[in-house]
Amino acid sequence: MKIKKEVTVAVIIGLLIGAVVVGGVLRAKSALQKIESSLNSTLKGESFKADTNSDPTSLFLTLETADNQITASNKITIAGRTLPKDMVAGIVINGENGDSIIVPDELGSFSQDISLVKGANTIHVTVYQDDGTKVDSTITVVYTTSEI
Amino acid sequence: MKKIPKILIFVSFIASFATSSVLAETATTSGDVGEITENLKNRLKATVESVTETDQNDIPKAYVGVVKDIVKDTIVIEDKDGKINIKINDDSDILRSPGNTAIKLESVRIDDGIIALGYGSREESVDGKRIIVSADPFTPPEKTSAISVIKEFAKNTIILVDGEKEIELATTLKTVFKNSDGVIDKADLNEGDTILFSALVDEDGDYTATVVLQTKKAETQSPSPSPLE
Repeated sequence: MKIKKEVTVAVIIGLLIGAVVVGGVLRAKSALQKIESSLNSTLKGESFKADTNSDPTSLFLTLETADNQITASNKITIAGRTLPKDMVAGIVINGENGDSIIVPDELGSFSQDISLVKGANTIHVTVYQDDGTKVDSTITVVYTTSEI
Repeated sequence: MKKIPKILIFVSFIASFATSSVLAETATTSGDVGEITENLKNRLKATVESVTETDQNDIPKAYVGVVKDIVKDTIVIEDKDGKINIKINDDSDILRSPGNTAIKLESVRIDDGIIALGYGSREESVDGKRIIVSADPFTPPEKTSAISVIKEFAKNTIILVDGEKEIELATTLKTVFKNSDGVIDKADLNEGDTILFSALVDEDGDYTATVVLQTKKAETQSPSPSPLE
């Protein structure tokens, strides 16, 4: 009888342990589901904002050539991105030592070497569309052979 | 000996309780996954920025502008993007152009043109290493560009229509004419063509073309039969 009693107590305790473990797991699972849904809604909100803020046809100009740079070479590559070539009339690059007019590629990338004068060079880049819409950017480059 | 099973059961119970608590706690903590992710992002961003800033500060920069003020050992200059503090120390070389003669900070004057080369950031200050000042500002030659339609040709001049106004665009032997395929001849241009040009502007405001890009050809009109035919 004494053994039976101990077995019964052990079974009850075992059941309690099982219930506690299952309860914990279920609580963890429901908490994770809540997080997942909140993350999803947040991400959806962000992408919606991004969509509303970006107009794929509005003219832009991003220069990849660093501003305020010093170079020991008498040439520099002006590179950047804008709309694809079928949406742009041309890109005017005004340097101190000459000008260039180029067109971007199908993806809107462009690159052009221009020569520099010794000292300060102000390089002005303007992108034009057929209707005269334009966007521009200016960078400064100093060409010097002196060590800094 | 009889107590051992009881103790084992008790320990198991405690262990299970602890495990479930930890599980629940983990879930609650992971309830802040968004916050943690955000914190991680911010830390990564701060690390990247600090590394980038450190790298950027190791690269000498050039600022071209005009001297606006001189305060103790700092020259305040203004360039195309705003004001910058250039700190002068014993290692700084200050030169006056033309001639590049070495001068002292006291000889730098307000409204001098200035090229400041040094290390640092615009936001804080730049540790000036080589400073070149000039009584005349370092201004680039005045240039312009526009997209317009050719109205007619005159001797060495193209008359353009830009809205309601006309532009006289002088061309020289150095003027480059091109279209999207490459270099063309001036004779390839026609009245009604749309061009994008870049030009030098002289003191009188006259334009001399440096590059002309034919962006659109004039729409060819179908020849109408002559009344005499």
